[in-house]
Amino acid sequence: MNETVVGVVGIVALFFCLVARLPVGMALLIVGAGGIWVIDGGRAAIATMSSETYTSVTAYSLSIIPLFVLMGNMAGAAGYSRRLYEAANAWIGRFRGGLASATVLGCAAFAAVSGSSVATAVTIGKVALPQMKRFGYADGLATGSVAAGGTLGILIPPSTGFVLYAVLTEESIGRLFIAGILPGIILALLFVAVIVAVTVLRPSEGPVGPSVDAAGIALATLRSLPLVGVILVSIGGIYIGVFTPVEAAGVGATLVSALALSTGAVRVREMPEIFLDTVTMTAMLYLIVIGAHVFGPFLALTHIPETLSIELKELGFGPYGTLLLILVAYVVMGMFLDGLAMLVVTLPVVYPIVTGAGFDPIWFGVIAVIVIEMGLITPPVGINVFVVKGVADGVPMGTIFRGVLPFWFAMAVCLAILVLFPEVALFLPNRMG
Amino acid sequence: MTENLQDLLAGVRARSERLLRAFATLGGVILFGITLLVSASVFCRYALNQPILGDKELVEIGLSLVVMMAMPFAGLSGAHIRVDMLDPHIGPFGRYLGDAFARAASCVVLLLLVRKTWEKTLDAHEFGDVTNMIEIPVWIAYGSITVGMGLFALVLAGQFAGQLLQGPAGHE
Repeated sequence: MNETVVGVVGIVALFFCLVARLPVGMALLIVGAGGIWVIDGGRAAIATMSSETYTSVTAYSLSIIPLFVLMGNMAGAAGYSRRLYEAANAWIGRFRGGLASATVLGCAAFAAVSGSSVATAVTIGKVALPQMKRFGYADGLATGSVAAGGTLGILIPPSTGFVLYAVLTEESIGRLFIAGILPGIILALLFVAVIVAVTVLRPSEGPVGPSVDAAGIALATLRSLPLVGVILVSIGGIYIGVFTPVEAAGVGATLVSALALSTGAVRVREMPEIFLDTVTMTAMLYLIVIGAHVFGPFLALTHIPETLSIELKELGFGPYGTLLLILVAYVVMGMFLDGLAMLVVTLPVVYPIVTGAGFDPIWFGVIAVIVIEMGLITPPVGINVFVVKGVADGVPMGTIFRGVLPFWFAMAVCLAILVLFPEVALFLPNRMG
Repeated sequence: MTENLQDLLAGVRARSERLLRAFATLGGVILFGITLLVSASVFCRYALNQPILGDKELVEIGLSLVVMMAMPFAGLSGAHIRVDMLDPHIGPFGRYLGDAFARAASCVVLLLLVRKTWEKTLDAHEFGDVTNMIEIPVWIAYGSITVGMGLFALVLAGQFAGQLLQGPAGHE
């Protein structure tokens, strides 16, 4: 059988496996190994599985995954998300729509210690939603701000999306992290602009929140400072070149743990549960990495990425036409597929096309992560919406989806800004120490 | 299925869960050790001008233990990401068949992987393969993959057997 045909059959088989409820990592592993078996024989397939598994689980650069997951879990268990939200709330909660804006800013700040959108939405949602309910916020705006704000978790570093992108494309994790900072801030500000616009048009949806006096503001700010300090040390350390990303993750996790344990925010007896959550998520992410590392060589053997790249060039859409096609495909796929799954399944094909068209790989990493974010709040699968539904008892799913719609358009605007002005993503990484 | 058999399966599942939970938590303790090691390495480099020799190798080998000690528990607790977009449309029997296929196919592939990594473990042990700087035996990493993926395969085999014994009725 022709290698390209094997590749096409492999891709169809991959989608069949996903529909058949196979875990994403396992589906990639099975189809990748099966494909190599057909093309190069069983010995090569099993050897690839074995060597790629060994390489993945002993890769020093990948230790960033469990270290940052530990840092986020420790900060979540210590209740630091509440402190960040309270600080944002103290500053802007008294304005119309201020509680929703504080939610978004709280999410943006917590995203700087958590690499997960789901974790960000859950931890901030648990604190912010009851508060917004108490002050009579419309359910749509309240839940929408949490679901959308939570997506910042995978754009603002540290980000599991960037780590996977880096693993699959061999780009620098540090540069990707730093590239996510400015777009993350811009997106958070666009979310706040959405909230302002909604509350100007329909003031009853976001009434003014509690007024906090100067002493209250100072106290809330002071309480958030230790975590802000950790964020500045770990992410700032990567930027100025003091730490490698792995070291930043290790130092960040150590500082948050020391802070949480020394202040009694986390007790030693709670540690086993935090460890268990951390390593379970780590194993989940590693299975995807292992699967992707076996699926990648299979696709390379089929020459599908090169063939597709050549075909797309011959269609004459030009670089931006090709990019638009890819983005539309991503947005549509994001409606049905988990974001990380979409990334690992598509990148081996899409990455050579994008770089072949002359786009910067770091810039495209940011674009890909924002499109994943859009998928997180797009029906019918938008996982952040389901997560928020779990926290916001009694709010219908339709209301939440309607609530996130304006935020989805804000993401599209952010995407357009990045396409028009790539420097927004590349300015900081190009000036790294 | 008889009540006795159901009780037996529930007992096996509960014991396995406790064991694998403990195994994964131990992996978490190793991870915490890695966290401290990375920080200590940074401190020693900047404050004492004396990097910790072989710190990266310790992280690499430790990481293989962390990941593989958690892998079977992640499988048992259903933590691995799945695409469930068509679940409502394929019905209970479709989900039953899908799960049976997923578990059987995963089990076969994992067993092939385990057989190979077991051979690699023995080879690395026999030839004394070690890391470059502080000569940590490489068989530890291969061995951890063998044990972790082997237990993961056992979990899947157990789930497959339980599913067959239970039948399609009541399958989620």
